[in-house]
Amino acid sequence: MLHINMNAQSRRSGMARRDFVRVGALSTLGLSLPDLLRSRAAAADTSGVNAGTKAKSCIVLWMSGGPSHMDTFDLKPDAPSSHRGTFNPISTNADGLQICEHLPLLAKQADKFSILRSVTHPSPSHDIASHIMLTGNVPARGTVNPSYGSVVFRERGYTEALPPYIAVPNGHRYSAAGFMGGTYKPFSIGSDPNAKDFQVRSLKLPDGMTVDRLQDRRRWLTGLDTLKRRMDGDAELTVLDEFYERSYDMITSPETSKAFDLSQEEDALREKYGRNTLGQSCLLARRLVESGVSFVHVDRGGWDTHRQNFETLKGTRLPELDQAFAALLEDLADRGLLDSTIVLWMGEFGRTPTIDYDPRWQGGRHHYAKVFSAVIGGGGFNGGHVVGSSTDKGEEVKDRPVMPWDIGASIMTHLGIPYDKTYEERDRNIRLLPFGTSVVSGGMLNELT
Amino acid sequence: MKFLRPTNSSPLRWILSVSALLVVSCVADAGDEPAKPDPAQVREIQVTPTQMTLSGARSVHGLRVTAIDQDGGLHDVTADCQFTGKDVDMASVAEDGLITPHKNGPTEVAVSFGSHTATVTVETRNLESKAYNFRNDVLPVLENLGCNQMGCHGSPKGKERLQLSLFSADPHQDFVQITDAKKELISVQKPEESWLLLKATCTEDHGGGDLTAEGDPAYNLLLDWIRNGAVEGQAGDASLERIEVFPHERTMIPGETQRLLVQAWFSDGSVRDITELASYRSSETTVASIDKQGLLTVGAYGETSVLVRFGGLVSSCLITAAQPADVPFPEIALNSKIDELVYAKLKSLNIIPSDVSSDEEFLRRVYLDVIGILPTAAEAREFLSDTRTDKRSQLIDSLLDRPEFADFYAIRWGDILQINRDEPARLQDKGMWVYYRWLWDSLDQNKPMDQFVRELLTARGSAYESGPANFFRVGEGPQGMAEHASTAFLGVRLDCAHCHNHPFEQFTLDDNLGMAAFFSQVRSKRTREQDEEIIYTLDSGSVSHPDTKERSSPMFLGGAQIAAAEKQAVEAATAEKSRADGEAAAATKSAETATKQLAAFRKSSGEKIKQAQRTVSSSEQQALAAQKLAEAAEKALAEAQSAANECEQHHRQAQSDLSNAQKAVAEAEALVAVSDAESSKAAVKAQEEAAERMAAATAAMEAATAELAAAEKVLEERRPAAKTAARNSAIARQQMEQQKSELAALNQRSQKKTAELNTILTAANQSLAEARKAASRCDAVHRSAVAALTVRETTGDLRAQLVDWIVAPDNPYFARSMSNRVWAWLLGRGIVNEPDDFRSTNPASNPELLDHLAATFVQSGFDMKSLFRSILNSRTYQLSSQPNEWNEADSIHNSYYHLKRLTAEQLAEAVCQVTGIPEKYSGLPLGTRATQLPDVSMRSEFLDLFGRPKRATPVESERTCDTHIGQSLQMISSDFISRKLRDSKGLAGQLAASDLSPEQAVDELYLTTLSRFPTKEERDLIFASPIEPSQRKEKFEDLLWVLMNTKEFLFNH
Repeated sequence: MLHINMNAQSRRSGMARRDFVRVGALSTLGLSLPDLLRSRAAAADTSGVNAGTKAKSCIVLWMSGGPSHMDTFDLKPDAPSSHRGTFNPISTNADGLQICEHLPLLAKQADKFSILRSVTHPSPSHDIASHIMLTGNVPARGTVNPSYGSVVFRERGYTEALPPYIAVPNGHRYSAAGFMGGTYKPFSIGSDPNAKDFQVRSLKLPDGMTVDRLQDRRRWLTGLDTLKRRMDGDAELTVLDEFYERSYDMITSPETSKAFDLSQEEDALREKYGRNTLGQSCLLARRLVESGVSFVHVDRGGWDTHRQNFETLKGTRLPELDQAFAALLEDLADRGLLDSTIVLWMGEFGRTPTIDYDPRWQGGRHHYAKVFSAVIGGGGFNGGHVVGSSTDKGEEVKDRPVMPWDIGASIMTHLGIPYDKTYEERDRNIRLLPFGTSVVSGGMLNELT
Repeated sequence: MKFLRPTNSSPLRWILSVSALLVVSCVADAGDEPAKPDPAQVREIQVTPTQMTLSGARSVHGLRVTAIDQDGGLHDVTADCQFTGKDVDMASVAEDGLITPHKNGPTEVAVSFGSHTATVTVETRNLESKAYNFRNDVLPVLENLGCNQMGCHGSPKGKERLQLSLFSADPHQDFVQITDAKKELISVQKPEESWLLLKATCTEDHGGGDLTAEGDPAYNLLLDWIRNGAVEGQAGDASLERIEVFPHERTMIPGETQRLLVQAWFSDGSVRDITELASYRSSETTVASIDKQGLLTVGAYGETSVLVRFGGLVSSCLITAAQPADVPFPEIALNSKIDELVYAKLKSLNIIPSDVSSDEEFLRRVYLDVIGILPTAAEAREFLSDTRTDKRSQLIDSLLDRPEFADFYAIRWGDILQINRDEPARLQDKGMWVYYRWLWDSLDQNKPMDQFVRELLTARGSAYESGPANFFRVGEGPQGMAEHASTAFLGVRLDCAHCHNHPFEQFTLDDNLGMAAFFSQVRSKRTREQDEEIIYTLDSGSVSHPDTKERSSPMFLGGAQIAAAEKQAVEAATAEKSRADGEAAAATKSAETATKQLAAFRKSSGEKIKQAQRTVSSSEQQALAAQKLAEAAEKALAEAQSAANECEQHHRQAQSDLSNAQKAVAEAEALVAVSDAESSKAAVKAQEEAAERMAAATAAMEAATAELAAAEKVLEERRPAAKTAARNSAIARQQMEQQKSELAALNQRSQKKTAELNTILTAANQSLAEARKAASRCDAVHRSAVAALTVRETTGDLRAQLVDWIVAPDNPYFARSMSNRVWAWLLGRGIVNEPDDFRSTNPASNPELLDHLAATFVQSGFDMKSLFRSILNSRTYQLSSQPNEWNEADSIHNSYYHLKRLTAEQLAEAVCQVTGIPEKYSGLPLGTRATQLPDVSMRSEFLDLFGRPKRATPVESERTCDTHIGQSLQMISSDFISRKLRDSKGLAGQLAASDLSPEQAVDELYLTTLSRFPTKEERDLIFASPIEPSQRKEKFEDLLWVLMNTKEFLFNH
């Protein structure tokens, strides 16, 4: 969208830029940038956001570090002890679908999600794998692709006072906008929703500040911002003004403070989500989606269990996940939001099927991308199914590979964004996703629709 | 003013396209539809080409006719010309100038435009040959149709039946694929039904859509190729060497058109018109659009570069549509050559530059650009009240000398060198600090950049002790190091060529690998200290091609060309050397011969002369002897004469005596006769006496006669001898004279001959000396050519050779890239933009300016500060940031100073500076400025929000100034800002507590934040309601907040 060249060193002007077409022309059309940011819905029919869109929003639960597939959603009780691990599978409320015994609450919500057990990609390195999973693209040298959230931001724009793409509590390096530029970065709330007096930094008025005083300052600023007047029509100044306006809106609008105000939730529900960062982040994600936010990235690390895999999972990760994820699905369903909200749980990869009992690792699992699991539900994706499978020891894809771009193309389609859209970057047109080209693909997740 | 770049799916796109339409329609409304040039008003015409050599059956070739009007303007009048073939049996010519030859041989085509005429000569050969060469003729067409792109058949697994190499990397394999009988893509029996064509025209369902249609030039070519057997071609076929577009540049006006002409040149010297087969891309389609037939139409004012592509080759054409000059271009006093070059460009586009900045603007700008921080209120007051006329250049000098210069530019260079203790460089604390210190010191000392590069790229040793050694910890492997070094110092991005070639990229995988080979010897080893690494080099190392596994030799960037040029140079030098050696040998031989001849001549001629001299001297003696003899004979003769004379005398005496005696006898007889006895006696006696006397006289007479006869006899006897002797003497003399003259002649001849031979010898010696000199020169050239070539083979530290090449004065990249970076840092946009993206397809906006800066930089001995100084002192740099009516659309030609949002560090520091409350960065003493941070590992939400890079790449654009909501929120209500604002030790608090009047305090706030005094309007607005003493702190805080949130504060302007 807005490729604003703030210091005139454009990120993407490989060719000499000689655009004599003037941005000033915008004002002659009676349009201002606020209109631009808002006009997406109106322009939707022409800009390719499909009718028949199944999902309004998407929540990505990003399990940074790479959760072990063999100990969460793809247990192999019959595998040898070198692989099997110490956890047992349990049945769920979906026929024949089994998950880890340490996810009992989630087992009761299995009708709301499906497991992709044959996700695979080529990189066991955190950095590249994260890029692949969060953007659906294998990184080309020199190019960082935009995350799904940034694409949605760009395609949808602002529809509410709230930014369309929010990271809770913070974004990941590759949850940002890559070559699309900082404008489409998620708004990171930057503070822990589980904190006692949780408030979004910067949205809270500083001590001694009142809305009235802020309004006074705004009035003064309007009068004294002379450079702006001198350069009327300058795009970068205008867009900055636009973000100032949006900031004032966010700071002062009751809608915003309400969206972020977890204290409005009943204690019981807050408990149900779990009084921890992940739990309260999920709760906040639900509130944001409810307030019209298009894309929420929930970030929870600590899954890089090279050491003491089982203790770590059993001790904190799984209980926390069980509570939060189960509560989120149930809560969304209760409020009738699940049908319009995609929930995607994933990490950058899985973990080695063989367990490393070396004293250094004390029963650890290492990086493994050949096959691993992701979970998807809501927003038009049916629950209770398993897509694909891994081999007996969880080492290879057995059938129906699911490539990251298959997931990407599926969620983009549900969100009404054509997966083959292209964006200009320097001299090239970069495709949103390689899906549909000659790359290896298992196809769309049509099993779930 | 900045521009929104229209992008494919931008929400702005539709609006921009509407506005683009507006621009175009405005043009149309204004009645600017250009009139066709009237032949009568045209000064002359030029035809392109004027001569062509065509080869083969497909030799049709177009012409372009350019009219030059009275003002020197150029116009395409091809469509309005008459073309006449001289001999239509040889070649016919269509109305549009398309020449079709019918017979081999030379002919001519006449062109006329009104009264203007021109002639084109056409030479055709091999007309009978319908031969195709797959690589030259067919593959480029498939490539331009897009068949071998990544997303299509160029993907590693191909698509459907067809798998092509990516961007024609492997033409033979592509041929095999396409003609593979099993794939049934080609039907030689029924060419029209070839699957290849049916797919390309989408007659058969084709995932790639319809790429061409029946009758299209591309279609026709493919069809014809199949009809002619779908062959690959012969090994000896002429190869495609270059393509060239006409015109290379052209100034036009909106509405005007120009049909481009694209020619492909082959190794046999023949040329082909590929205008309809080439692919085109205009960098600014609103300025000029171009259709498949190469017809270019100018839409709006501006500049655009049209890139033409065929068979992996590119050529480009710069189109300039200058604004109409509705006011005269002002006469401007220029500060320097830089200004002259900038203004020449502006004048050519009729872009009138803004006025020079005010002192206030300049002051703030130059502080931010040179040392990254704001002037203090005191510094601002001092400068503004300074009345010296050269105060700007004085300020520039003093700022360049400040240590903060090194602080600020260590950030820029830190980005480029990716200095960071944590990910991704992972230099650790020690490595980071030693690297940063080296960098800071280098900048502070103004280390010449060639030395800077040498220290960096040839570094070795512990990365904890040698700062520059850390360079080799950043790039991953030789390729990574080469990519890093190329981006940093050549401004060339090789990362795209890391894996494969690209159709629009000049640099290939071979370039990447060739550069990487210079780093192939670099190794590191760990020590016992945590993460310490020692950088060292092996005697040898290698990088290999990812596919062929062939070992790549070191090759300077520009790769193929340089290698080929070097090889050519070696060949030429070898030939030249052997020629010179031959000449020297011949010269030696001829000199030797001459010497020998001379010596032989000298010997023989010396002998002859000596002989002659000897002969002369013996003749002299002989002559002398003969003379003596002659003289003696003469003398004897004279004596005989005199004796004879005496005898004659005697004889005459005797005669006279005799006659006297006779007389006496006669008297005596007479007496006797007449006399008596007595008397007779006396008479007889007398007679007797007379007889006696007469007898005596007779005897005497007889004696005298005898004597005389004897004397005469002697005389007679002596006379011939004397004569002979005289003759002999004369002969001897004559002989002698002759020999003398012969000797003289001989001498003369010998001298002449010696002189001649001497001349020959001198000449021979001279040419020998010359030949020897030439030979030694050739030898030197040869040695250096060979040396250059054997760089590839040499062991030793190859990095040093790379540095030699980089810092050589004629390196095409280094000085340009450095100058361009500094220009971009100061003026906000590189002459080549982005500053680290030099390539043939990304032309400079003002090449002359870039050349000038680079040349000056080289001359200065790579003096960075001097480069800064010359740019900062230019009028161009000092222009106001406020555009005017004529230049507001300009974003690249520096007709005004472009706004630059403060960088993350500048802004963080500016906030600290104006609030008076420093920020504490962990691990660094309080008071350390954001502009003094050694790397990007310090936690700072503020810096991250405002675009501090992760330093994951050496590309400058990783540092972003994109706007997002986190920034405005941060400025409005963050703790970072509000804590500093409210701090009672801060500026607002101090002013509130001071004795200053509210007016004075406001002045102070303005000077501190905006480096200027408030205007009357601003004062009036601020004091619209008076500031009561009780409100001072609150109001000053508010005003400070307001000033920090003005664009004037957030931007460098």
